[in-house]
Order: sequence, then structure tokens, then C-alpha cells
Amino acid sequence: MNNPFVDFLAAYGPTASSNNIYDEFVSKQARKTGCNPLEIEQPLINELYEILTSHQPRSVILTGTAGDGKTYVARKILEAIIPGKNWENTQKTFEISTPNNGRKLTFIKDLSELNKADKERISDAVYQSLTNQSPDLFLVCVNDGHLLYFLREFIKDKTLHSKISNLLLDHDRKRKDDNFELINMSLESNNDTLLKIIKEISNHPGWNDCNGCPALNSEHAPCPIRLNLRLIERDGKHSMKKRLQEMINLAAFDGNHLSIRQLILLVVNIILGDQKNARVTNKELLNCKRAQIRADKNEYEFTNPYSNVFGSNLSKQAQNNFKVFSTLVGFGVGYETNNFFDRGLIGKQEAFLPQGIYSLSIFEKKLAKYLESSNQFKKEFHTAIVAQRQRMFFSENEHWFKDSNSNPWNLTTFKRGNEYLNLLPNDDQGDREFQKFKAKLFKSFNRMMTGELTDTSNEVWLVAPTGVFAGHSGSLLVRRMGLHMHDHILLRILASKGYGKPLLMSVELASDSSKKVDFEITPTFFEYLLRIAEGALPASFPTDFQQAVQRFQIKVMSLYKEETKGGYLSSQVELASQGNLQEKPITVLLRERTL
Amino acid sequence: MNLEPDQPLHFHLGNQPEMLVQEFIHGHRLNTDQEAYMILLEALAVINDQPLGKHPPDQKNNKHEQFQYNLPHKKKMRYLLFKDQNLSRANSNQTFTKEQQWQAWKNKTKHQFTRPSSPEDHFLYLDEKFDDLDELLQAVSLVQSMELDVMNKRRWTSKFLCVTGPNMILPDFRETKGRWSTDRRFFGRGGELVYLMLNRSDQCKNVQNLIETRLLDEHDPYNQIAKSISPVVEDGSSTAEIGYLPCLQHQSYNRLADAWIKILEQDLLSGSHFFDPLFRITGLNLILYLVERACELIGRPNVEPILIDLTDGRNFQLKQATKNNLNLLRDLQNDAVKAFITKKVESDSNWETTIVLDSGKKASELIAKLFYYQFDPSQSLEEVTPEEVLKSFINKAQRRSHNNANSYILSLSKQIGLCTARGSAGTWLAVDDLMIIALVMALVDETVELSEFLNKLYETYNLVIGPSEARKAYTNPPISSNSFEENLASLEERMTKLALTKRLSDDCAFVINPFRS
Repeated sequence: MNNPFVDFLAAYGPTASSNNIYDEFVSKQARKTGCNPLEIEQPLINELYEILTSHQPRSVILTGTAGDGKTYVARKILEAIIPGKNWENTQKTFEISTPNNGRKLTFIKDLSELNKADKERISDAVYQSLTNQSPDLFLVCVNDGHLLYFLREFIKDKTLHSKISNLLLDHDRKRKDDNFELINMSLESNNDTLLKIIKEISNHPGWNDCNGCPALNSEHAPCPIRLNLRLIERDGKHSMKKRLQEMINLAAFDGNHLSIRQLILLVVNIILGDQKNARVTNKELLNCKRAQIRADKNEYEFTNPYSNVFGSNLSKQAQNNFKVFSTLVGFGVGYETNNFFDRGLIGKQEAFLPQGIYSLSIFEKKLAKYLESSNQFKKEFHTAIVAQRQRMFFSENEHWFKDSNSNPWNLTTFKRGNEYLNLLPNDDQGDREFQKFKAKLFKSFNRMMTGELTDTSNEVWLVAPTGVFAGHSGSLLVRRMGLHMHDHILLRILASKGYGKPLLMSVELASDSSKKVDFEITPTFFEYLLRIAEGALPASFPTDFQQAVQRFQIKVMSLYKEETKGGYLSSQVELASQGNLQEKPITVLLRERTL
Repeated sequence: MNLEPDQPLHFHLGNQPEMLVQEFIHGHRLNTDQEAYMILLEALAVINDQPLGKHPPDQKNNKHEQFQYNLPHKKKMRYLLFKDQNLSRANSNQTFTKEQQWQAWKNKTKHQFTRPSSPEDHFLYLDEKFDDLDELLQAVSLVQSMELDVMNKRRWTSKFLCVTGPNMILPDFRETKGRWSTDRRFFGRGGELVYLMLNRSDQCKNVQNLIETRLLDEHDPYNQIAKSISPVVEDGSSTAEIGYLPCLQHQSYNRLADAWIKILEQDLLSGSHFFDPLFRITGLNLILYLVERACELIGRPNVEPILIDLTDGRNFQLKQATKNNLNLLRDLQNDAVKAFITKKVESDSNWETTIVLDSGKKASELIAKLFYYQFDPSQSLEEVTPEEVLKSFINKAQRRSHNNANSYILSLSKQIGLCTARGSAGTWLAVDDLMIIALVMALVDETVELSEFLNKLYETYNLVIGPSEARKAYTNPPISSNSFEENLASLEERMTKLALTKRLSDDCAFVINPFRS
């Protein structure tokens, strides 16, 4: 039995991504299979509809990485303005008149697809519209790089170019300008996008065509597609989808934004991923026939959704080509572990290896083979144990989260992943959580800046970096900063301000809060800092980390220098007994200055 | 147009030189013992005594600058920093009172500061400034922390401090039996060339102002401490005559001055932070000057591009191409030597007679006169033709062991992080992280697109990294366009690690200069 929806869903999977006209491709597949395309709710559509049809409308530029849904949003706005209007795939621009205000509105589906002559033709009108010299409106979809290229090469107005560059560099999602709206869709929150996608797929009427299939309700040999769907649908505080959402958030805090298209691709791969033919093109996903075979032959190890999260059904190269997989692989889930999990797994304890298709059933055989002949089955066993650790990472066992040793985040490179997430809510709980880490963070900063293995952790001792070529590290103290009001300088730790905006350590002048230095504590940084506090040497961490700390020192130093009009740097930092830092005034300097 | 000043080079040279060829082409002189950071130190030493612009070149009369400058010995500060071993010993003697400790140390110095020892209290000036040895030791160790290149154990008269103020300048000296004289090994006059270049640039005054406020700042804390351990009246100095730089005008002078201005304008940085980027960018400017001069003399219409590898040798094709590029840059110097000598000889009125007479001896006399060279008197020149004499002289000049731009380019590019040398893998052009930082400081005022930064690297320094610049630089690129793409991707990856780039999307990245507010 074949359900056409399964084939349609596969069009959203990792095979289609190489197709750069994704939105159009999916529409075509929808017509071909007769299935309704996935409709992910996007609040931006309404918002932009309002802007374009209001009595004081503004042009809109939609930028963002490929797959953020620019074309989708544009198409939906068009359909909202003129219901029933279809945007043909061949039409690169689309001109209409808006009903409420009677303005001429031109949609540009993808500016980079226009040829040179077309760009030249429209450049003047776009310029007039963006600078409020004409009543005509535009909705332009374009990657940010190409937008700047267009401004530079075709519009040739330096002021507008630098204005838009600054807007793009701005951390805010968008900034209102008198004449146009610039929206970077890569900064749109993807916090609950994943949940919306799962809901949309799971509620799709296409699944009704499975009715009557014998595999649907089979207990012993259930359809792996429907089994995976059930696993990903499951709700709960520690459900698989919740854990995925946390990973997506952490990635965004580290600057790795995943587009809607990548997230859809991920969910499809979790449901349909098939590892058996990993090297055979176009067969990395299940169809109904292959699903039936996997079930009949009890080959569920190939359809394991917990490892297909990481694109295990794809070649290494394909994994790298899809940002969602390269990002999630970066979490190292299953390749990191500790004794708690491995002992439980090898000892086949119920809590670690419960009854079930993707646990005991697929692992038991591999373990037995390995115990029989470890050399012969080493590789196979390794793959199997990694897959089991990956499953345990998505475990719903609530007790495990209560102890640092049994916390499933130990199975990743972000051992402090959930602790980082706990710090984020901008409320009392986040503050309380933060108190636990404050001392460790401060201690790490002190170790990094002074180069001493100090235990001082109640304040940050900001030392001036010397930058001397092939020389010693510095020891001049700029300022001691604690989390309380000082005469000059205020040190604060600020919770995340939303999607993709990490924890901040912020230093500002008490007299002028516009003068401040922000230090982003990303999840990766957080991990490093805690490890340094626990004894790892700062020099063993990557240069970007050291550079960032040095830049922070330099910036705070400059801030402080301005405030004190140069009369600073008058004491030295020394390591006293018991590992505490101590301040030693530079007497001769103080004397020189009073002269 | 490049005018060669009428002051001949030998005017600036006290001793009889071995030969003068590269000196005429590039200036006096290119000494491989003088490391890139020492070039900067030497330039600052000259600037501190004779500010830029004080002796402007006489462009109208085509006259080279001519003046003397003083290099302070700083014997006492050097002694405290690098020679004295009794300070911490006396300070840790717990049986003594503070005063006894001070006296004990003073007594030791009487015997050790001068040989033979003298009863004089050489360090009397410290009595007023320090209460006890503890304070003195603190000051000494703070200044010591500014020592450059600490792993290199040089004698105490050739150790250097990172200059953040006028009191931190320590020139290179030689001490023989208590007599001090300037040593031209580490202060090999490369800094004089830099001084003259800046002095002849359009922005000379501007550079001087920035140096005074940013690099030679009296109020810099380290400088204040250094001052406190120095005597009020300096303890001796040596005088030197400024060196020789042939062209009164050259495009590279303004480029160098511009780089200094840009780096010194980084408003978030101060004092010692300027030192590293400044010596690297100065070295790069010197290399480019050598390449440009060579191209001018050979008569090449375009200056050879400099292809650099950012993939750390991962892309073999690219690595090989930059290796060839480095060799080509060095070979250009040999071609320039040949072109220069040939032109100078052939344009001399006596050469024609020499040819007619077919006299090797006459040829050698002419060459000896033109290039201050002494032929080996034991060698018979009876049986050789003038052309053979000329050819063999060119060969000697190209292969000379010092003052040779050919080998100088190699050592200088290694020191500034423009090239990598790795055992059997060889030597090739590849920039290191600190050089990347220096380039960003010198070229990026406000955030620019990555493509614009690459364009600036090419337009200003002839550096080729990505495909767009390769298209401009080569009619037949030495490697595939994919390799250039890979090179560009590696650059961005490395700059991201240094927090110098910010990528907005797969299509757009910006270069940020984090040292400007």
C-alpha cells in the first residue's frame, strides 16, 4: 500500500534542498501528488499586510538566509491582498494595485534572479520608493549580500548603502525607517517554529490515506514512519521535541540560526530517514514500500529517529551541506559520554535500555555479537552504542535531570547546556540560577586576564593586557568590579533578550549608561568558562575565545580611561597565598603623579 | 617621478664599503640581523631625538636630508633591568632592616656597575624616589615586564623594551672595556630608512603628532615608572649620521605613513598595543617598497602581485603557487641588480672606450669606481673581456651575503608573519593571525563588506586572496578559481575565529575593526 503523502513529505527532505527554488519546487510537488502543501503559521504575513495596505504604507525589504521563507511570505501576502491570485513560477516580478490605498505595489520574488537589464530598469523606481520620492511600493525579497551589491552597483547612493549596511548589522530584528521596512528573517524567532512544523505535519490530512494499511496498527512490526511520527509528536517537559527545541535555541545563541526550511527538513528526516542505503542517491528516505520491508525484516536500526536527527542516513558530505545537520552534529551527541550512561547501557539496566524497538530490541543483538567477538564487531558495535547514547540524550527520564552526573547533557559537548538554558529566563528563577554560576564565571575571567591560577571569585579583576611582542603577560590592574554599584562602573549580568541573543556581561559607566561594553556569554563560552574555573588552562582553548576576552579588557579599559581622565593604572595584581589575588599599589607611580 | 638626490651614498658612509649596489637601489641598508620589530625600535629612537619634519628633504634642490641624531646609552636603567642580580637577593634578606637592605644593595652596585669598581654612588638618584628596595624592585620588575622577545637571550646592552614612552627607548650598543659604541647589528639602519620614508611622506606632520601622543607619551604609566628608575641627567649618548634613501619621492612613502596613521588612530588601544601591528605593517610596506623599486628598475609596467595562502598549506596547488610567487619576488631583486648595474655601466662615457679597447682591466677600474668595489688584485684581468668582467660583477652583487634584498625579503616576511617556513614542506607566503589583525587595523576604519576588504588588500598592498582580485591581478591565474574560493573561505574562517568578521547570511559578511569605537 502506498500513501502519496509520504512521497510528498519526502520533497521537503534533505534531497530537495539542493534545489534553490524550494518554494516553487514544493508547490509543483503539491500539484503533482494532490497533497496540500505544509502551511506554517507566520505572524509576519499579517504584520506586513497591514503595513502595505495601510493609509501610510511603506515599502518592504525582506532579507535573510536561503530557506528563511522570504518567497513564502511574499506569496502569502499577495494571496492575502488579492485572494485567489496565483503567482506563476516564471514571473520574477508581479505588479498589483493595493485595494485600500490604491498604490502600485511591485513584488520582486528574488532580486538576485533578475538579469542586469532588469535590475537597471527597476533600480531608479526602487530608489525613489526607498527614499520617499515616489508613492509606488515595493516588496523585495533578496539575500542581504545581494541587496548591498544592488545598492552599490545599480542604485549607487552611498548614503542609502551605508544606512542599509548599518540596519543589517544592527542586532534588532528590524528598524523602522521613515520610508521602508527592512526585515532580516534570519533574526525572526524560531523558538516555536519547530513545534509548529511538527504540529502541521502531524495534523496533515494526508495521513488518513494510511487507513487500512496493515502496518499501521501492527504491534510486532509497526510501520517505522508512523512509529517515528508518534515519537516526535509526544509532548512533555523532557520530550524529544522539547530537547530538539533546546538544541535549536542553544545553536542560535552560538550564532547558528537554522532557517524554517532547515527545520522542516530536520523533522522530515527524523520521520523518514533510512540509513540502509546511506550511500545510494535518493534513497536516504523511506517510502511506503521500504518502510514495509524494514518492518517485515525487523531492520529498525536503520530507521532510528534518534540518530537520523543528526543526518546519520546521509553521507558525510551531505551532512555538511545541510546546516541543520552540521550544526546538530556539532553537539557531539553520542560521541561524548560518561560511566553512568555506558555502565547502565552495557549492564542492560531497564532504566537505560528499556523494552522497545529502538532500544533493547536493536541493541541487544549488537551487544551479544560484540561480547562474542569484540574485534570482528567493533565498528558495528560502536555505531550501535552511539545510537543508544543518542536515544538516551532524548530520554524522558525526569530523575536523570536532577543530578549533574546523570544529566543527559553529559552525552554532548555542551555538558552545561541545560544549565545555560536555565539561566535565561529574565525572572527570579534565572537570577537565582545565576548566583550559582557567578563565582565560577568570575574566577574564570580572573584566571584568563591575570594568567594566574587564582581562586578569587567575588569580583572581576580587570587587568590591562600588555600586547608586548613575545613578552610577559600584564599585571596592571584597571579595575575591580563586582555585581554592585561602584563609584564609576557598573557590572551587570543580563539575561537573554530573546531568540539568538545570549547572556550578556555588561559593564557601563554609572554616570552615562550609553557608554558600555557588552560581552556575550554564548553557550560555547559558558562551557569554556566553567571548565577553566574547574582547572583547565585558558591557553588550551581556541584563539577566538582568548581574543574575545582580550577585546573585552581593551574596551572596558578604554571606557574607564575616559571616565578617570587617565589617572588610572596605579596598582599591580599579585597572587597571594591561598590563591587569592591581591592589589599592590605602585608607590613610585603614585608619587610621580602627585609631583 | 623618482629623483635620486645628488648626495651620493658614500657621503653617508664612514667606512669603505665592500660594494654599493643594493644600497643605491633601495637605500642603506638591508640587514637581515635586524629583525622587523627592531626596525620599528630604531625608527622610534631616531624620531624621539629628531622629530619627523624637523629636517625636510630639499625637493627643489634635490638634496638628501643630512643631520646627526643622538642615541642615549641608558646605562643605569639597563643595569637595573638586565644586569643587576643583587636587588631581589638584598630585598629578601630578612635579617636586615629596610635601610640596611638598601645600603647593602648600594654597596654591591659600587663594585659591579663599573669595572674597575669605583667608590662613587652611581644610584644616588634612587634615594629620593624610593623608600625601600621593595618599591624599587616593584618598579624594576614592572619595566622588565615590557621586555620584548624575552626568550631570546641577548647581551644586556642589546635587550629592548616595548616603547610606550620616550624613557623606554633602548638603542643597540656594544660595550668594550667600559666604552660604549652604537652597534649596527640589531640597529642596522633599517629604522633610518623608515624614518626617511615617513619624513618624505605628505602626512609627515600628522604621523609625528600621533607618535608623540600615542607612542612616545610621557604620561604612559610604564614610561613614568621607567623614568623613575632613570637618572635625571642621562648618562651618556652616542651620535649617528642619518642613513641614505635614494628616491626623494615614492608612492610607498605615503602608503607607509597612511598605515602608521591608521594604526595609531585605533582609539580603543593604547601604549604597547600599537607595537605589534605597527612593526608588522612597517615590514610589509618595506617588502612592497623593495618589490616596487625592483619592478621600476627592470621596467615592468605592473608591480608583481603577492599571492598569499590562508589555508595553512591544505590546498597544495595554492601553496605551490605562493612558493613560486615568493621566489619570483626574490628573483625580481636579482633582475633589478642586473638592470641597475648594466644601465649605470653602459651609460658611463668610458664604457664605450673600454669596449673598443676590449680591456678587462679598464672595465674593472670603471666598475670599481662606480660601485665602490675592490677587485681582487691577485686576479689577472688580462685575458677577460669587459663584458665578462661586467657579468661576473653582476653575479657577485646578486649573490652577496649581506645587504641583499633577495635574502632580506625572505627573512623580513618570516618575521612579520607574511610567510611560513616548515621543515620539509618548504617556505611559502601565508599570513599569520597577528598579521591579519594588523591588516584590519591598517585598512578598516568602519565596518566594511568582506569583498571590500579584499579589494583594499589588493589595491593597497597587492595582496591576492580571492577570485575577484585574482581576475584583476592575472591574465592567466596560476591556480584554479576553486582554489581562490577555498582561500577566501579560509580567510573568513580565520577572521571569524579572531572575531573580525560577522556573517549575516550565506551571502553577506562584514569585516569589523574591534579596536575603533
